[in-house]
Amino acid sequence: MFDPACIRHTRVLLPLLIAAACAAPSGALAPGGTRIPGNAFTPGEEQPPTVRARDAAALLPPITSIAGALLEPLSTAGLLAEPGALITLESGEERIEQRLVSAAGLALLTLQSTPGGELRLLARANTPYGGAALSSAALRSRALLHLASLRLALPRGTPIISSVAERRAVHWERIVGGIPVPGDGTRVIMSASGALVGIAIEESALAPKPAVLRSAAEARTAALALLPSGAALTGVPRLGWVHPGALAGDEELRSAPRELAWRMRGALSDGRPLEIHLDAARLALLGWDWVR
Amino acid sequence: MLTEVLLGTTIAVVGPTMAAAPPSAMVLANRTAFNQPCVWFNSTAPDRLAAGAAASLQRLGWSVEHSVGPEFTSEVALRGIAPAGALYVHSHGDHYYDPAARRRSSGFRVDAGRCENAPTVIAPQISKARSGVLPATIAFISTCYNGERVSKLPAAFGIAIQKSGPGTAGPRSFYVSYSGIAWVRAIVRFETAFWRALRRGATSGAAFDAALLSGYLAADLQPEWWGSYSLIPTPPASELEGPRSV
Repeated sequence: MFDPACIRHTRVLLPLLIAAACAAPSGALAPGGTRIPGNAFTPGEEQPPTVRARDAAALLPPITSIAGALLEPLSTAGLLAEPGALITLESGEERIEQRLVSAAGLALLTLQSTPGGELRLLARANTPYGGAALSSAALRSRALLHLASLRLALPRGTPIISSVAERRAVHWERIVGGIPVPGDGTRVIMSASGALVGIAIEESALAPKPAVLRSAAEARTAALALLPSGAALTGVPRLGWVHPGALAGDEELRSAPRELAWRMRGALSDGRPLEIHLDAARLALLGWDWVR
Repeated sequence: MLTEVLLGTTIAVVGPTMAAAPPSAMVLANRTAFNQPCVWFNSTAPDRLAAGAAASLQRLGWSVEHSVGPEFTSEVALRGIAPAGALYVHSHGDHYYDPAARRRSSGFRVDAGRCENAPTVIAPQISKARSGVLPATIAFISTCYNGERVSKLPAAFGIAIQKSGPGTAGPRSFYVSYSGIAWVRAIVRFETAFWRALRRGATSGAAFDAALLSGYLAADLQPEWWGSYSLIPTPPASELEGPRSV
């Protein structure tokens, strides 16, 4: 069975990818090709968290099905599927977490889904290191195959591919109206040989886009007035959706919607890099980032 | 500030001047250099990071001693690090000049109430203080540069710069730090996810993998680890009177 959404997202890809990814794997995210409903509840309806968790968890496919649908299926023999639990992230977002644990209590597969049933995070433990290292192009293709095997939306565009601690990260950054949302988007972590370590799909809430934006030159002037003595701007102002900082400082307020900001990088008098965020409409200080 | 943060946890706090009963964990964080008047805003990050590490280590069975802010001096740090089986440090880090050896070593700055040029604690000092002590079970050095292969800190804690992957035998140790410069927002995301996974019972390596999914920009943070992927960093059985599991 073919999933139309999957076809829609993959039609620009290689035929091989389409054939491999869109042939419905048995027991994938939506068994039998049935799409998970987008929202299990009436919008605005207030329900106790426990009720919502139970109802939402009932909509999710068994984690054992997802374990079997992975490109490198996870054998579920001897593993225990814990009941779905409602968790609240630092951002305030509620998710249903399912875990597949060993007899020793170690989670070998963790899934987080929205209460509406959309997969947001998959973390697999014990993915081996080593193996033949894939090229960047092959890593991108493998990442898409991992997403497709779970019938997740396939992101467009060119991902950022990086190496970290002998893992590989393929990240399609979220872009809204042509403006990046740093850190958001679809991220696939793999071994160097392409075995799946995890998938994260982040879509932070955004504040309304201001009707009128101040110019980059105005932003730069405003930023220079805020910098401490001896500090300087070294980069070109860029627009981005950022979380405001706690106390307008360096720690993200992830429970607050992202706001459209001018982001400018520079350096302190001792050379240590910094980044300043100014509200794109008012040029008010939103926050900072800097290095240790 | 730390007191306010820690009030919400159940951390067993031992005063820094008291002898810590094993198994001990030490949590150190520089607050002064990252807040007014040293910089131009107030940062909750050092206290939050320290509280997160302390709560997680306590959950893993460690008796946690902490020193955050001006009381985090070289003397307090070395006294706490000497017997510690688990360690967390958040501060500036680099490969600092070691005048005794006339070459660069690796380490971190203490707080000591100083905005700039606070004293450093470097690898040879740690090695000397920990002479005869078992390798650290977990050492999380939340600083720039100390995740690089050239860092001398892993060896100072008795941890070899190598990875023992899943399912392979390795040392009962896990070391985490960052290569190159590390941006604060990325640090907070990574470490929050790492400690959360450990509290939920993940192995050290699995917690590191989970933290790679935490939504920071790859260009802003290069975490690295050495030791055993499969380690659950509870206190060694010989030192532990409580449960080993988490």
